Amino acid sequence: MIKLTYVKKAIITAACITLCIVLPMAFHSIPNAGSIYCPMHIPVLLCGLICGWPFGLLCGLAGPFLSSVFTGMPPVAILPIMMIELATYGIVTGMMMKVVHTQKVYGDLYIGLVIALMTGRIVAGLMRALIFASGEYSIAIWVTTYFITAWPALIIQLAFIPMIVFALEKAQLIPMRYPQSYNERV
Amino acid sequence: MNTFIGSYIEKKSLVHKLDAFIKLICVFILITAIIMCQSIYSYIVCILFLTIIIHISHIGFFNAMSGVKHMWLFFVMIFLMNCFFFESSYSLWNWGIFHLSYEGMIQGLNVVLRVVFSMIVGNLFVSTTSPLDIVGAIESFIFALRYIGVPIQDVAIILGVSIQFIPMFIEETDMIKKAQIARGARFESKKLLDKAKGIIPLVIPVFLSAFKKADELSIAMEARGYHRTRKKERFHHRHIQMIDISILIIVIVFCIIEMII
Amino acid sequence: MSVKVKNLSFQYDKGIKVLKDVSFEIKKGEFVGIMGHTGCGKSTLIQLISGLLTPTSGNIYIDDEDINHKKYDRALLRQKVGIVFQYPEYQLFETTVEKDVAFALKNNKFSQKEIKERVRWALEMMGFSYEDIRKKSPLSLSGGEKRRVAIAGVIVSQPHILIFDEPIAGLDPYGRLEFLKLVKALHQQGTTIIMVSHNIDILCEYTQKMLVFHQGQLITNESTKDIFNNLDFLSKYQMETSQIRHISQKLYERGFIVSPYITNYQEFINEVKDVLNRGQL
Repeated sequence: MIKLTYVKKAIITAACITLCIVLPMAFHSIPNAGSIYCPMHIPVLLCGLICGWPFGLLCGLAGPFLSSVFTGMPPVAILPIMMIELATYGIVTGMMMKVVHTQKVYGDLYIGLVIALMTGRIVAGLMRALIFASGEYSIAIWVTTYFITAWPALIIQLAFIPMIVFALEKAQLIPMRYPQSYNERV
Repeated sequence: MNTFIGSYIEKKSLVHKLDAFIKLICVFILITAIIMCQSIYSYIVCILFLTIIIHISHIGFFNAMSGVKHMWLFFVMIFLMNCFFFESSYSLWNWGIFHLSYEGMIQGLNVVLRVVFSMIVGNLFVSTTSPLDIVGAIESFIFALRYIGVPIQDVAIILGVSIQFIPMFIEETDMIKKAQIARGARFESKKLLDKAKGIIPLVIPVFLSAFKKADELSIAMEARGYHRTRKKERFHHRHIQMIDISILIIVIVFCIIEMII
Repeated sequence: MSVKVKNLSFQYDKGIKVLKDVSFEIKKGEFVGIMGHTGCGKSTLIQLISGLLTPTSGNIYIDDEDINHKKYDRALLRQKVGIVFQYPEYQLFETTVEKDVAFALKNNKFSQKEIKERVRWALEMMGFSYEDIRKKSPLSLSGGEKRRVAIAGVIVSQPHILIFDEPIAGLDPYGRLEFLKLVKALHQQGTTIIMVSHNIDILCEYTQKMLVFHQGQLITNESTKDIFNNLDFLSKYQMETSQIRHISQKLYERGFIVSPYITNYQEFINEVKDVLNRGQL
């Protein structure tokens, strides 16, 4: 039985931060992938889901920051917004996993993810509107663009993250959320 | 995969010599000042100030502007959206939901200029500070957080480990990508859904291998007796000199001026 | 299914020359070993042959067709050349073994029936029982099983040329033996095999020909037996010969056997049998 100790959570967080830097680089050679899929979101969401909110928060702040320092992506100008958005994801997913217990892994993951993705986008959209454009109409535009341009990323995150979680559970790299239901699934 | 855009330019200048931690604080203050820009005068002061910094940093105008060129489409979009969607009492031209207005144009210009200026400040910081110094500065910055109960030592270890992971993960990801390409994986499909499906063989193994590495390292660390740290953190000694303090004061004064005009 | 390499050079963006003017030919059905110190360009070479990297200059011909020509069909190359990287188990990702092994086929419009047959063949080739393994998750298998599934995922497209990069690293002695048996079986079915390895004994045992690299240059391209009998040459490049060669040298010096030029196990056994038959011992 695998147990997530404090050290293990810390190192998993470190790995997720590294993936925030490496995944966008890997996607770099695939045309348009970076802007469509937001590859940096996936490790942050996973980190929050698996390690809890303090680690998710750290990953959400440090991931984009280090990526910006080492690779220049995202550019410094949009870095603060991105950090706020990702940090929100990390915190909310972590908290959701603590609060939501539907007895189904899928249920927990989807509820957590949907709420986190909504909150993160709303927070980031608001911040963006407040910082860059203060007109009343602009807020509405910013929020809508946040959802319209980013819908492929939304779908990808909702589809990929449960897949990755199951793969990690099967490879016995993270503990089962509901060990008793394992046999039913298989 | 080898394109590190991180753009440190080694030169000897006042800006390079500045303490990285102080410089980081200056960056935050400058960006705040830029966001505060409202009037034409504030922009002129801002441009003057940035020109002086670029000049004394010896990194050259083009390096300071790097990245700005690539984002022209983004700028045009922001500008046009503000031009046409800004709700104003008086518009020059109407068509459906589009309203062209003076206020909108000014708002659009405002946004674009702010982003460009922020990018210049960011470029100045990363091209005059070596990546190692940047990390050191961040460490010091985070150190301040200890007073609100953040386990700084642990954060430092996590950041250190994640930086050490970078070359290993890059290599690993590259290998996985090549192995899947050799098995006939296609990443460059035109259709969005196929494209998304196409990256599964890349993303899942990358995460598995990353978590495997994390697992191995954490076992090794626990075996060597790492636990949750409670002990006091050694302070990263910084040699902050008069020049650093004076520059910081100048930047703060600049920020206040920007807010007033 | 021959591989012909002509004046091949490769250089990374940063300007380090990894391969310098390499030319050789590998004929159909050969079992070729590649050897050299770490950083000598072996990995680069096999990635060039499988079309994962593009040469800086020079050409690679597979079946007399230039694989870097604009009109060359990359999908065809993927079918012709299979490559098994070091630690191939990291490429597994599907939910079942069957799906994972079939991955290489899905991109090349095969019929369902054909896919199933090939997957069965590949898994059985790798020593699994198809019915037992197909529904299992590849991620929850043991290390050795994972590797065999991953290799099945490469051989399933029945490549004519199969490249292995350090295939035995991290396998236990039994796993090694099993694996080498499978490689031999594939070779006997007519597959051209190229194997990169540091393990000299295994190279001596299985390969017919060797390509030896030193600092990006091909320093020799002869039969395995000749290379490992040329002790002066090997020591010049700080390389070792096989255990068997050492033993036969010692035995020869003491007058037990007639010739010291024995590099592999089978020859050694034959020689010893000969000696015993002649009653010299």
